[in-house]
Amino acid sequence: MGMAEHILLGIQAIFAGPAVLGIPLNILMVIGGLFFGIFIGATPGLAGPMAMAIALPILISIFGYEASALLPIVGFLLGIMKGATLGGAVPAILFNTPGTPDALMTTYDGYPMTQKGEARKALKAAHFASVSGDTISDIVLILCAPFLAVFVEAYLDLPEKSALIILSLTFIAAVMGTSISKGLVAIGLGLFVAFIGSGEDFYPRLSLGVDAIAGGFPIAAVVLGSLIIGEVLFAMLEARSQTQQQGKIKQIVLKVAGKLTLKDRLSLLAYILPSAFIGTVIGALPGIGSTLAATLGYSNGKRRHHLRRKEGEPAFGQGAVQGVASTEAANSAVSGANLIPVLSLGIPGNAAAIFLILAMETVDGLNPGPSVFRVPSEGINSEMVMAFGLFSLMILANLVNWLVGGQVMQLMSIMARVPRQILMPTVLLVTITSVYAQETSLYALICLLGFGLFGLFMRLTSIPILPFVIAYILGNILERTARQAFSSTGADPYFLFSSPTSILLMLSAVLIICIFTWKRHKK
Amino acid sequence: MAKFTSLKSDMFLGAFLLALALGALFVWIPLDIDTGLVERVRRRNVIGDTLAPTAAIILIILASGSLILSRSHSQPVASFSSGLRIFGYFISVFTVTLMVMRYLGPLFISLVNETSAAELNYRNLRNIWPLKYLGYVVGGTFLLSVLSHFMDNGLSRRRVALFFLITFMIALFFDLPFEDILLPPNGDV
Repeated sequence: MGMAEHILLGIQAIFAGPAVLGIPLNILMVIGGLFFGIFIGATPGLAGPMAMAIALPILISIFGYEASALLPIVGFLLGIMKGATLGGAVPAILFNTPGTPDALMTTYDGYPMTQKGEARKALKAAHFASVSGDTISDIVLILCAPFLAVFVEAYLDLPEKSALIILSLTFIAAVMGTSISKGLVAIGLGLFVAFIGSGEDFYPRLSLGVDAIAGGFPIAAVVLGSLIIGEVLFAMLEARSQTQQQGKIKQIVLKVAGKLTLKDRLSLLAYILPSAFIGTVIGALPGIGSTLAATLGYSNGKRRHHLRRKEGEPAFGQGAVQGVASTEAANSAVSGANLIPVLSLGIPGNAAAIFLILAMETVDGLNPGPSVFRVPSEGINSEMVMAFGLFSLMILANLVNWLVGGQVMQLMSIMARVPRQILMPTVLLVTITSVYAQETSLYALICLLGFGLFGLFMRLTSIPILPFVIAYILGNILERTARQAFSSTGADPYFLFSSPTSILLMLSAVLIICIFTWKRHKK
Repeated sequence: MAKFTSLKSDMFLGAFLLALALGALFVWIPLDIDTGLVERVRRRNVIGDTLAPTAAIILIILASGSLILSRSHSQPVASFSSGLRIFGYFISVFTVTLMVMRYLGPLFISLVNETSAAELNYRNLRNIWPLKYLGYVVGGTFLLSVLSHFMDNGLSRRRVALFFLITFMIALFFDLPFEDILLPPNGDV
């Protein structure tokens, strides 16, 4: 079967399975995820990855581990990812509080528009730009991921794949955080934790003879603990510090008004398209994230607006609708493109992608990596069918987002009023409960809270957390690939330098460290 | 909030990580892994279990060495003792929460046994409402209340009641629709 048949089977797959009120479950899940994501994004202090982290163990408990569970589970997570980016603009525009970190730039023009009584126009512009950016990014994903995977599978052998993972980890260490040294520390720690309780010997290595860690730490406890619990504890410390300095938060009187005409929408495209391009490129690179995409998109829009601004039009930072559109298109375009390295290489690029990989690795049916898009000589590649099923669900989520996302977004503005003192402890308890639901052991909760404190320590010392988690996820894959590469090259100790491609990849890793060290030193 | 990111604290962090990494390299890895870096298995050389953790530790040593030697610019320093207090506080709160969740239900049953001469067993009753929620709801309410107090420097009775309600709602959310899901501590007892 060729790729076209796999695409058709993928589209059919989303209609398969049980239906609720006549709507196929897979479709219902992605729509549910989208609305839940908007709700989460609209709540200041919560972000998409947090909701994905809480939802994943619950979804696994409901749907199980079989291949039939993949589309509803990953579909729901994809919906959250898309919805949260859109929802993040709501409190940014209405209350000058970014719902998600990447919506910070949205406050610069969104909130001044609210103060001028144009909140509805700002929300509509954010919705239009966000969904446009997301759709463009998804199209690039669907077109690029299969070809990149086929290229990797055809041209990269085991030594090159090992070198590629090393290059990705190095890149993530270099671009994240305040210093490369700290990024590399995070990578080293993540790899080391991954190696605990694993290995090929009968004795589980580094387990200190303790049965509980003989199989390694529970993966949900490590990832959710360091990423989510650590973040919640850090947010609590910040809130405590704010309470001590500023006292109580002021209530804001809200006036939602303003229109976005068709002419406005067409003129915004000149800002949306370049921003979507920037977001897509940034999203395809592992580790950079949507905050930088939003910053670059905003800066690019600002330059353009400065050159073309008509008399009487507000400048960027003073309530320009173009500012909202430039930011939202860029940060939303990251979400589709960050699946390019996930699906084609098996390498997560940001926190949301980590939970998608975690879901795909926990549930049967799709092991992210170059083999996903391998066209078989006969029969079907069920992984490719699943991948195209996911693409179909993403397109569907975009359609729903186009149709009703704007209305849902406005309804969720109420969430911005929930006090953080109630929200943050509740998120902590829900995370604890959902991990227990999956692992059914207090030991898992001890690990979860332990890694939560470890995550807090990393945040307090400015050691970036994401390289730690990505290295933890890729650690055993890297070791397995390196072991196979070592054997396949006849125990060549220099297997990482055995071909021009692997030499190039390893040299690139060294070069990245040198360039970023030099750049930071110069700053 | 001040982070521990000054020149001095980066040096301290680097030294701390370096000490841990050296301990792992020279004590933990040699004592807790039986194989070498490379091993001979069935007349073939294969990578041993020691190689990967050793490589990770060497990376940490190099990076922490670089942190010690780096010339980063100074920023405000939070006192080390306040950092320790924060961690001590969270550890205490989590420990009490987990203890309450784990032991409150069984403790209640043993009290009932003592006062009524019954011979009940928590394990047999862990699916019965409201006993199955007891440890979770009380522990959860305690956790939410204490953490909210930590953030806000104050706690009203009304808020404690709200947290009780929230915890109860979470318990219902997980328990009612999903038959297989167990709330803490019912999977452990």
